[in-house]
Amino acid sequence: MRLFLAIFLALMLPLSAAITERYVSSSGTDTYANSTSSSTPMSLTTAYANAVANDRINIKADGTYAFTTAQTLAQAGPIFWRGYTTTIGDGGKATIDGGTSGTYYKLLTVSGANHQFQDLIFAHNGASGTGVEGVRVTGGEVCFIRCVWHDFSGAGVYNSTAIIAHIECEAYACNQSNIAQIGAIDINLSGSLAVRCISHDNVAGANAHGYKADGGMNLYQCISESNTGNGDYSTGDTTSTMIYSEFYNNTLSGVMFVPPSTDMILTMYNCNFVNNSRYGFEFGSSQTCTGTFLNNAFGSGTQANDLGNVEAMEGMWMAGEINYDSDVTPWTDPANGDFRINLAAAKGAGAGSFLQTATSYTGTIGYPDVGAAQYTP
Amino acid sequence: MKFVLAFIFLTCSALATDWTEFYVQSTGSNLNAGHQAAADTGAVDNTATYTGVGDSDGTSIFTPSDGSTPASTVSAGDFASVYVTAGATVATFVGRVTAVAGGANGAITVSTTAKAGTFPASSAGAHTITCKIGGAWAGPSGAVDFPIGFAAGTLMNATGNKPRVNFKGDGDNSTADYSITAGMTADTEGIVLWQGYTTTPGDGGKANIDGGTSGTYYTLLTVTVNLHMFADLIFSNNGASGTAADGIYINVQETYMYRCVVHDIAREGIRMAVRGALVECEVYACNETNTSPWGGIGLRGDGCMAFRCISHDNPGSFVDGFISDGSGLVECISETNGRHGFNSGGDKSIYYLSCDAYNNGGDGIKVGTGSGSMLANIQNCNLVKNAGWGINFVASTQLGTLYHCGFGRGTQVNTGGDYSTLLGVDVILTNLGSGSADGRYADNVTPWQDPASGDFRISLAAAKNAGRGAFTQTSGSYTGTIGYPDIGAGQSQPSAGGGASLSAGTLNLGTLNVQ
Repeated sequence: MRLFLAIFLALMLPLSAAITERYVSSSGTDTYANSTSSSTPMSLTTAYANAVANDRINIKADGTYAFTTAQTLAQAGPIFWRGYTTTIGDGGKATIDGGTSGTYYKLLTVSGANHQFQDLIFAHNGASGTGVEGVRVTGGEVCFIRCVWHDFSGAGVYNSTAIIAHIECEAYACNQSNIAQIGAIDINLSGSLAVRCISHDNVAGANAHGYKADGGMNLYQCISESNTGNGDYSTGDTTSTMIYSEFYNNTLSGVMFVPPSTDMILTMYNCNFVNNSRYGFEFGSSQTCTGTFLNNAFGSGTQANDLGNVEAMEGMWMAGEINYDSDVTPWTDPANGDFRINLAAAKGAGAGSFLQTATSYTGTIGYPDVGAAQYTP
Repeated sequence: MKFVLAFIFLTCSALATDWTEFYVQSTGSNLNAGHQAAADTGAVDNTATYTGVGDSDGTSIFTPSDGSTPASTVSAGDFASVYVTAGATVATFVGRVTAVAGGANGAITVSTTAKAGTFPASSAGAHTITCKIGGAWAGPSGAVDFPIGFAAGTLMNATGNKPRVNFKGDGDNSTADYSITAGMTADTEGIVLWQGYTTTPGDGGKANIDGGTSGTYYTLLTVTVNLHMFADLIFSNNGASGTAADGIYINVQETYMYRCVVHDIAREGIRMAVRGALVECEVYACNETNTSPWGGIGLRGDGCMAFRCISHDNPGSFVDGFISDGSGLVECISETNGRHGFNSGGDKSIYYLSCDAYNNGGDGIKVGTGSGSMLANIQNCNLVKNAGWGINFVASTQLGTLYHCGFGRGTQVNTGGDYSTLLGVDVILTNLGSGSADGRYADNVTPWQDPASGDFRISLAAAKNAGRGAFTQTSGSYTGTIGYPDIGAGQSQPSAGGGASLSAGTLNLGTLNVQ
């Protein structure tokens, strides 16, 4: 039976188009047509202008890809943009740099749908004027994998009308213009998410937030630390999720939900709030919000959140609060970006319950750590 | 186990939300005020602490005419039910008492804002009005859905705490606490928390609302106004014949379900049409009419999410454990369903993180519909013994990641194969026992303790700490972070691994979560 089903399913599969591997070098001058060989690479400018669906543009990290004007990818994908050092797919990162002179501009706008960026570093977008984001995404379903954004006048990456996923990305030194209501990673549409991302050391002022999350933002195993704004800043009328995430040493609150947002539901569990200069979680009292707040942990003593763990939370189901001993953090060395869980009180202390009422069931329970980087026994 | 719980209790303190408490007990009365009056000590009474007959001023004042002295038992802060006596079966107005005049026939004044329903029109001295203080409601019964459809987020005490309506259950999850024959509709202003309990509000006990097994199918609960939260409730059965209907239909955003169970439903157990969240819910024996395209749980809008939910033993050949369109699932389990474990619609972004798909009649995870694009991120999931593919990428355009998933082999193989043809999905798999970095476990083993009995605790060494936990840290000041999660939903216990043995039918083992 299973064999027949397998054959049936195989016949049902669509015939996916094959990916065409293309090559870009910082010294590349060849044509798009010839770029299928690593020995005849094209420039990144040529790739931007000519890439079509099912191309994978392998960008060699053999120099800086320097731009001074805004670039746009309007064509529809799927198009895959991937850095490498020696062998394609080796995880090496190519840098696309907008420079530090002239008027601020958007280093890259992705208005076409279905682009995927992997192992790329985006940096700088001018020197003066009105700050703008480094990468703006307006096309649908865009994915960033192991990308880095740094030294931008506005957000590192910003999406408005597109659902995007950020996987294992990093942002720092963004929003250098201290623009209000901007996060280094700025998420604005339901269904978008960030997984194991780090936003840190965005230090231009009180608006330099690690994340800004409006519109169904989901932070999963993410870290936000040492930002001079909030770890996360949300204003939206939305469904919000933050789980297994770290909020450490931010000048304002670990997470700030700003009134007068309305009609929010929040799911927050197994997060750490440590040494933030306002609250761990600051919640505008005029907001209307319900949901669950489970097994989150807070620093104390020198690691306390200065104004308290949680401010003004009404309508939430809250349980399992963990307060660490004075003066300790749950991590190995957060000051140096090492957020591995090493405190016994955080290990296996996360919410891990399942509900199983069926009589045939004996039951399941999990013992996750509180925090992003699960401990190894 | 005891050590772990004791340890956790020691390290946890009481961060908790206060609520304005209302009570539903099947032996109460729906003409009561639902709130425990100050004069009612101990467990909430089923009868009102004060009942008087008199008049309404049409706005906010009830004045007795029966010679009673309200001030002797009624206090500001109590809640009053004020209704036209003749023909009344359920409360039509409940509001917070703000003042009580002294003496016989002293007036009771209620808030015009901290209330639900409409204050009775002026009775013009006809003495046609009744006022009750306190007393539990009886709850839904037959064709009556009260207090669902009545209680509103405005029912707040002087502190401004949101209302929680506590449904008392008998502690036996298999028997009905509230038997209904017609659908209920949550259409009042939120926030309202509707929660079951056994002894003390929030104790994790469940109340069972049962729709019966006769008559025409109907939707047990429809949610049409946002910010309703349902917790510790069991919804079961919804008729016997006719056009199949869902168990719970949510067609408004910002609805939340926590530790709820839905079973024995004609069509989809929980149908969430727009963004909302399910946490620690269980669904089984749903879509009994085997109607396509309905599953056990349907997450059918961008931003719908499910966390640590289980959908199992939904047996129809067209029935998927979860159907997700533009939604995310974290630490969910789908097992022994008639068709796919997790099925996602087309042209969307979906993610499955630390989920388990076992022994389903179709694919473990099916991505897309054959047209349109799919942004799929599937990480740290187990796909074992499914009759189709472990993961079947059907969408014509595919982006995203497939990281550190585990696939069964031998007797535990996915019959169709590990995963079907990929396009641009970034794949990273590791050696889990096969000798190659292909994500395959050794032959004939599962990563779990006892999946046939619903015990999905991770017990296989190859699955422990083998999940994806990488971060990107390029900043020069960083030494780096890496995590070692298990592959699967139920993380093993750090000290012992796999956790302690569990007794049959154990509920809510994470009792640390119970407020």
